[in-house]
Amino acid sequence: MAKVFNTATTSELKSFLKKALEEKLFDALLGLYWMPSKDMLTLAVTSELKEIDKLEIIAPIMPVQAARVVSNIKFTESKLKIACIVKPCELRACVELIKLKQIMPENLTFISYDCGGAINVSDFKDATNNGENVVEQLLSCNKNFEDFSVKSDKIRFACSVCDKFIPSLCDIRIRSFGEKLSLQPLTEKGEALLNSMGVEMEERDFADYDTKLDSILKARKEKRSNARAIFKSEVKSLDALIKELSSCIRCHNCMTNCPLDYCKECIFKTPVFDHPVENYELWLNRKGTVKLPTDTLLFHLTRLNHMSSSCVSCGACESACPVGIKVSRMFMFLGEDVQKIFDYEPGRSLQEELPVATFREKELEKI
Amino acid sequence: MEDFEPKIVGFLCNWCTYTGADLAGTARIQYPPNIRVIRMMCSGGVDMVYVMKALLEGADGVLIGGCHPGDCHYQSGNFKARRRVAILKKILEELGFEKERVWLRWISASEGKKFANTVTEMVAHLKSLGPNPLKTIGKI
Repeated sequence: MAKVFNTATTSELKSFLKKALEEKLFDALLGLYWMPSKDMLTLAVTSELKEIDKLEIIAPIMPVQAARVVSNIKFTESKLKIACIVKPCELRACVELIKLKQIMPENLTFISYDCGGAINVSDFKDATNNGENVVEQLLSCNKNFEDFSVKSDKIRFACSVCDKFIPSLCDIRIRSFGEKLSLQPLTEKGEALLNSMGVEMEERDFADYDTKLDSILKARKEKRSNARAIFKSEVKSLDALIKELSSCIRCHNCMTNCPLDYCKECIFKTPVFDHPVENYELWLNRKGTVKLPTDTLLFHLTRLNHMSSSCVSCGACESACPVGIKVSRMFMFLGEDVQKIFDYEPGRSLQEELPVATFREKELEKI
Repeated sequence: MEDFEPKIVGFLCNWCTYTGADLAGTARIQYPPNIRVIRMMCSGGVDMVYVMKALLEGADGVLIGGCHPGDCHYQSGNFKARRRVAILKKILEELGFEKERVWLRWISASEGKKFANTVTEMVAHLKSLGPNPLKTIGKI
């Protein structure tokens, strides 16, 4: 049993958010809004009531990882209160970025929902231009407790194997499956928001809901472990890794779109790898041939070393790859191996310290 | 393989292992000349990108030398290095690369003998492993 605020439709939920904005419970609402061309959803933040009509609260698309745009905000003394509607993976990335002091959460309210997954931006655009209503497809799956990630043939890989599609560290969780959409406050902030709205909270039994979601979870977990086994059998040597990355053009899109690659002074954003001609002379003498651009393998291995302990498995890297490298499975599965050393799970808790930001005096004796 | 002489890149902490290596020299302790030493201010300053770059460029082994736990000149640099090396080794291991090519050792400024022994052991170990496969891997 949990105390929740029930709404019947997303439009009812939208008018609730509109009212909250009107009553200044937050100054602006960040979420996915329809572009004027009506074929695409984009992240945006608005303080205008009429713009909320263009909002899509639950949508199967992640154009840019929301944690990325939230961490791009330079947090100052300002008291501007923003409510952010984010997917569970975006929420986990936000948690990591809060711990990295890239997001100051004091004036932010996080609203997240039980997520059916997303398709790639280009597929979404094609579908809408062909008159398909992908958002409605997701919502009708949710309504019948069906897994959109199974039903959709365009589902992103990361979503199809996502076993963390239920948000836990948001202020308000939208239980988005079934007939009703229930807003469940998970923090005092969330509770205060619902209370100040004066909405009628009802007790609702979620036993059936949780069982149904559990079976979706079980299926996804199985898929994930299968994908993991395939990855492990395919990429178990550096030769195999080189094969996996053979089409890499080192455009850095995976890095640019990763919410956790936040460093302003990343070595790969500097001219360090614009080597002087003397280096080429040296390499030509030693190896005979130099692959260009140089340091492609080093780039990926460095990313693995630097951020895999915080990889939230959102798949933003893979969605951004112009040559279709299955880059997300590399990060999610090797990331899991790394996280296991420290019994760490990105986005699980605000208290757990980041593995690379802390240490124990007695540990890892056999290194 | 008999005449294979491994190349080791050493990232040594200025306050302990580098001074330990110096001591080995001034004390005229003999050890194989296979190591190329790069002086760091702290093992905590060794970004794993340096280690990987060395391996990808064909170094047969990388030795990271730091102060004994609790002795770091900057309090905790060596503890942080230990975590980073653990992550690197895990990734290398999962990718089927011999993680024993990377050694992290605590050698103090007074342990010239230990430094010489470590290099000797490492050279022997790398000889048994053979040349770094990355020397030829990835060649087009």
